[in-house]
Amino acid sequence: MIQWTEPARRLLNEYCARSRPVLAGAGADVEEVNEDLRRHVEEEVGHAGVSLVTEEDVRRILVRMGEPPESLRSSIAPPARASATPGVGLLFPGVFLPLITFLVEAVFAPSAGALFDPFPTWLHWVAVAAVPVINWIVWKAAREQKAAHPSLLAWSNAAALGICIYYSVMYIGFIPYAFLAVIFFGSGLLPLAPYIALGATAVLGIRYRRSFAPRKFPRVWIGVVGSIALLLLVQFPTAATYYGLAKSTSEDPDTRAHGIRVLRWFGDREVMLRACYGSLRRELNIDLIRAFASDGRDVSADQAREAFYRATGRPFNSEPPPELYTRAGRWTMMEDEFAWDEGLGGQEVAQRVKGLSLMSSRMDAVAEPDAALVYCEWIMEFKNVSRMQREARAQVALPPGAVVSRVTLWIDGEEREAAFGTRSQARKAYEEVAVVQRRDPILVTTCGPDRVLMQCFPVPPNGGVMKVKLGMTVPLILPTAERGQFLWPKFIERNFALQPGVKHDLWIESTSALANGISKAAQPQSATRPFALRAAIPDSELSGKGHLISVARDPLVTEVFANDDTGETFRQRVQPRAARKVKRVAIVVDGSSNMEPHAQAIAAALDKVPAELEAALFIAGHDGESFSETLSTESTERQRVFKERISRTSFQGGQDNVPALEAAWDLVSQTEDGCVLWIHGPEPVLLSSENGLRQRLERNPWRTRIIELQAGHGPDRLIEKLDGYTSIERTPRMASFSDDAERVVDSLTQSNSGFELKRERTKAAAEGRVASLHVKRLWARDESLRLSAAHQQQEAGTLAARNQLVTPLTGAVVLETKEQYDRHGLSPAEAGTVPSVPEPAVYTVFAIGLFAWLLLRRRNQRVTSRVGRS
Amino acid sequence: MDEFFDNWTVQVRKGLLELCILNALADEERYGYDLVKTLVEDHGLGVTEGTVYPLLSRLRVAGLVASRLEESSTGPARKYYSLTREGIKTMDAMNTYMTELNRNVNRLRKKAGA
Repeated sequence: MIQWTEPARRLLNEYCARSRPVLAGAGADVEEVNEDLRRHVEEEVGHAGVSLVTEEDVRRILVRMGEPPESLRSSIAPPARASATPGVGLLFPGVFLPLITFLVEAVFAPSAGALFDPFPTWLHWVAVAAVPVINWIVWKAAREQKAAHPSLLAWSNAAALGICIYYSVMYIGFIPYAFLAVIFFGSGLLPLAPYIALGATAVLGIRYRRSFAPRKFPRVWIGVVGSIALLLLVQFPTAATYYGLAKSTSEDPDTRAHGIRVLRWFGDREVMLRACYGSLRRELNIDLIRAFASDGRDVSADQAREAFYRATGRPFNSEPPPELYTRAGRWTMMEDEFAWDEGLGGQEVAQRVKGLSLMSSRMDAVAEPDAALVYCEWIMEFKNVSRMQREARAQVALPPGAVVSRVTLWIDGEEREAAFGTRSQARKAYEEVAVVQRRDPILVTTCGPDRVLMQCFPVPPNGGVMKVKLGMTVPLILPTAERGQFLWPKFIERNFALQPGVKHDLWIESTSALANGISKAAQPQSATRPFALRAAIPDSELSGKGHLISVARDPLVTEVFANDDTGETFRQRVQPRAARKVKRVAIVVDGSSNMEPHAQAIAAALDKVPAELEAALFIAGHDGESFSETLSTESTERQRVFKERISRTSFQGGQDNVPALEAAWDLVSQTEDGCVLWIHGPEPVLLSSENGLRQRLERNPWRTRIIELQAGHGPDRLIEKLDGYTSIERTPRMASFSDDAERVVDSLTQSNSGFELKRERTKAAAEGRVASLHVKRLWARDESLRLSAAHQQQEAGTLAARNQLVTPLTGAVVLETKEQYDRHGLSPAEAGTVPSVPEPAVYTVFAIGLFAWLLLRRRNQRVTSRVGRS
Repeated sequence: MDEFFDNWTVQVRKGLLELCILNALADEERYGYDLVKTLVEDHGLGVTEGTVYPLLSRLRVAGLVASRLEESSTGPARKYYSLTREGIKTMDAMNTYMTELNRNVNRLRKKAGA
């Protein structure tokens, strides 16, 4: 090891420093020559064999070496390309232009808005931002011929080169437009930024390497290929999503299934949602990755929505809209303001619209225990904080067997009643007034058994409020003659948000005792309303398992009647439900992913299928294929097979239930004692036509039923399409899914399955207690459905409209002016004919009921005291 | 006379040194210290290391010479020089020119009877 004295080192440094001006003037690389000279001195020292280098040693060597002569200055001028120092001119194309482009895109997103998103992942953001930064550092290092980590900087330069090449390729389709813009408008430089930056980055890299020669640097192509590969790699899920979406629209079922599998494995949720919200169409011809991955195939929003459901098992609108175009907040705000509502005036709830929310929700219900019914009014207030008028749309689940009998809209603080007309009449009036004239209507139509679609337009912009009311007449479910059950209505699907802290304020009153499943419910009591319950519950709770109210009733009251002003009498009887004998059942289980949490409950319920039944199990799943079983009577073996089938099922994505339902129907519909039990989750997208099922339900000599039980909360398009068919029996959700599943399986053979209400119109003198006109409304609903099933649509529609009911054949619409009503052949309900809380006649009923209850109580007390004495 | 001659030799050497360096590298890659020593001592060109290293650097910057470093177990890393493709072409052109120049100079000297 050779040691240097400090003076020796200082002398060498002074020699090098003295040489600098001459070397720079000679066109040599100053640092390089100094390094060479130092190395040479060290070699000399080594050859001399000294172990301690003194000032004298160095001086002797330097004298012999001589200083670089001044004559070198006037030597042959070095060739022009010899200059390693990058000029200031490189700063604009290499640093400022890429920086400006990045900032403009990040803030205003012109490319993302008009062409395609250049920053699909965070790495793309970082990559593009890195180009000007790297170029600046490289430029500075090359000029000063000094770098802390020269190799790292060379790698960075190569990576920046790769990033520029990547974006140059991505923007290649836009070059002609950019040139035209530059030529004719003098602007359009930004799309050319990748190409300009590419050239500048390459020149900077060359200069930098020359500046640090003879240092050995990594090969440029490795860094270039590496950065491009990395960008492509992180974009793989995006490309796979484009590929999967394109394949999922294929005519070929195998290709379609392949596309759905790709979406399940690699699909990027954000990209899928963008496709669902219709923001991808414009990008196809410009976005090369998408063009290649999707093979030029365009995917419509509807197709994307179907693919999203098939892949994820969730409706697209169950998730908030993607931050369109860019993740930058500012652009998102613009989207918020100007996003067009595709579902406006349509028959679907469609996607959530921004700025629209439910401000308050209130439900008031009055029970008539003797008549075994409840009248419930739901008042909602919507608020719109966007700058556009908005339409509030919601699918509402009615209590089982309920019918909408009143619709009210507040216009200028006044309540306006709805007109009831045929479905097409009401919709046409709504579309014309709402969508075309943009005035104040509301439309309510059915969209499946026990569900209605409510549309209100316009909710005024800039904080405007719209207030509506839905009144519904609800028959109680009667598991026993002493107890009726009432379920509150709830949202199935909505296009508006709920304001933070909004709860549903519930109130129900009755002349008899009430019990509830509502946690924290208060029970106010007063002289006029002896029994009442109040609660405020969040939507998640109401929409979840639902809330059951038990209404005590006098079991001895088996008949009530109501007289209308035309002198007609409507009688209602409470009688044991006539059990329909079932000998064979085909059970269809939805194989969608949202059913997976219920698999065990289903298996447990299937274990309880009575041994005397012939049963078969169908799993609707595996992308169109169904497992199927023939009817089996050997119960032990059957239970084993069913359990194994359920445990083997991989609940995935969203599955089409129609093929399995058709097959199940065909298996059991040959005789009069068969039925289909359909256990399913929400199906927000109809995956195949329901026409085959419609035909079976219409040509149904044995009145084969489909008993359906839905697990989970959400819309089901198939159920919606089967609106009006009496052979579809919905199972109300009154408890946990496992309890409800077991209950419905038990009901297949139980002879005692509660009580039912039979209503009739009669001219004979009625006996029994007087009830409100809701009895007549429920009769009219039943009769209208019966007429409709008997293909007497005209009569069915007229009857429902006359009784101011929303049925599959009628709708309710509130318009603004008399002229609007007249033009559409409608007339609004008159104030005296609409139900209210409480119904005027209900006061009488209340009084009678209260009197009867007091009498009964007094009698019971007497009996008790006699027994006590004896 | 002496001063004039000294200036003249400086001018001639200055022009020839680069050609000498290129020719010294014509056949093989050479280790810098060795190359410099050869030029300084063997051929008696009358140059010092202080002159040769700047010229080598200038040739490298001009793209005529390439260099690479190789670690050495006995001392500092060794720097090897070789001709680039352009360096070979330039050297050939310079040699041709030099031959032509020599021929013309000799012809003139013969005419003058020198």
